[in-house]
Amino acid sequence: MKDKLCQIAYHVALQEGYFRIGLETGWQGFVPGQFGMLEVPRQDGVLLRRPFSFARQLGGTTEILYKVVGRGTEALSKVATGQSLRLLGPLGRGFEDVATEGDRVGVAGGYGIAPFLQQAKRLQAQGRVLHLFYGARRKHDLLYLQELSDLGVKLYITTEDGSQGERGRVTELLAKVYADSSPAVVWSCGPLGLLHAVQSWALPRGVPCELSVEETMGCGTGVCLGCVVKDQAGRYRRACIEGPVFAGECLKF
Amino acid sequence: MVDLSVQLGNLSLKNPMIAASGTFGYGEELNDYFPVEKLGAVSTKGLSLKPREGNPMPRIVETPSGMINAIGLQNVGIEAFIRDKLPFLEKRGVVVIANIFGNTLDEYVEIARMLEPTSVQAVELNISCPNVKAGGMEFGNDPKMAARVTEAVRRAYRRHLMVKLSPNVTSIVEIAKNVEAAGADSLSMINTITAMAINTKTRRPMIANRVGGLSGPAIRPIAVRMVAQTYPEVKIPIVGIGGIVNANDALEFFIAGAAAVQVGTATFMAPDACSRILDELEAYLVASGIASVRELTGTLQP
Repeated sequence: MKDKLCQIAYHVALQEGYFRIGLETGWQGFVPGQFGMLEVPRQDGVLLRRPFSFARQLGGTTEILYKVVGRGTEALSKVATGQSLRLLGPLGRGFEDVATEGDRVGVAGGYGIAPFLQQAKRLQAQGRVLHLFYGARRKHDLLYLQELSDLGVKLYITTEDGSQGERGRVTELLAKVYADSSPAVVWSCGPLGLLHAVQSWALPRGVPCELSVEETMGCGTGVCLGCVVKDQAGRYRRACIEGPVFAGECLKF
Repeated sequence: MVDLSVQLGNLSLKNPMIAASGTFGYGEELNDYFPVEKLGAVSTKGLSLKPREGNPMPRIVETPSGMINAIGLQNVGIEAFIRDKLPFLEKRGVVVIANIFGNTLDEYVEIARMLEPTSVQAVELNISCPNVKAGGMEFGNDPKMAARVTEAVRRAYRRHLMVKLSPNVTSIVEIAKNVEAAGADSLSMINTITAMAINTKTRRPMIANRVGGLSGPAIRPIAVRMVAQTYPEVKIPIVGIGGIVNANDALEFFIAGAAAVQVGTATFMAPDACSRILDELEAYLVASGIASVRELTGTLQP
């Protein structure tokens, strides 16, 4: 992990306040699920960097997907292509594959979709397919659909309002599709409620799962202790160092 | 060549840059970003007699030019620190300041006693953490209690005794004088300022502990004022803390009366902040023809 000044190769506004930003990191790659702490312009009293999961590596450029949700992301959205920002990464523990045969399943909620692009790419290189259950609030919150389908991903889509895919919760669709069989592994990224639902479904069936938490972070380097999650033993673990991807059986919700 | 070394009473530091407690772990976490022995000293995460899990989430929130935290002194406990964490700093020859916290006066004394035979060169009494229920600020808020805990630790601990002052008081000068009279070797100031932020949608506090400690550039003018007020009233050296993110910020503290500084929140913004600010400070001294950083202390003009 390094702290590096990275030029912005591209910065694209998508629908509904979502953006894709490409940073010239010069990296070979990263483990899907890993993240970086990106400097944002210190306007409007912004102080800390913001944590973002990496979506994909395109040559020497690393892509981040984000949505404008507050002061930091608002300031970030104004940064022009060609400018440079400091990026600390890749940080944390990413998703691990299993040795067993069977379906590789992803469960993404909202912009928890980010790590699955690189994960799909990794699986495709091994001749495998990612079975991706992707839940969002509305049609407009679904991202990277073309890119995912180009990577051969088998997509199962749900929206809360039924504007695309099935109406309802993505974990309900997961349970329906795998009512009579079990996948080899489930990887999930999204809000805590989704991760809890995935854990509750997978663990009793003996399906290994890994859960990527989206926590507020101060430093990304393990010193501020502001991003902790509780494990089964009731102890706090740092999402930035011991996570953000945790073994499913480790977390207590 | 400029002279960066400073003397805090009986504690010699090769430079005035100290990593602030609670922002630098136990010294080994950020060693990938710069060699920790470059620093004048490292103040450890607050250490208690027994390990502490800390407060529930959310624990931090960014506020304009600052952040509020209520970590709740999550730490490995003094025994595990001495056994598992200290050897790393020892091997690297780092001056270690152990920031310690007790629920009771006896606990402070017991922790200090355990540190006496180790390589730790100084203790920083945390009598001002706003985020824990027992002890902590109760000692820091009251001049008599602050003096009592300082005196008790002083009797049990012969090495350098630094006392970290709370800004959440009516008169920090009065506390400073009491702590000096009770035998402190130096004062570090200021700790975080009790603060609160509210989510207006949910109408709930932004952190689980309801209130926390505000740090970062937002508090710097308050900290500088407190150092400037305290400096003429005490004889022991002052270590300035509060929102330092560059050399110019550090200069404010030196001019106000600090002999050394601690950098905290800036380390969250960039892991090499202490190292970078130290380099900037050295470059400033060279460019200004100032031979020693010690010449700056207390040079505030009327």
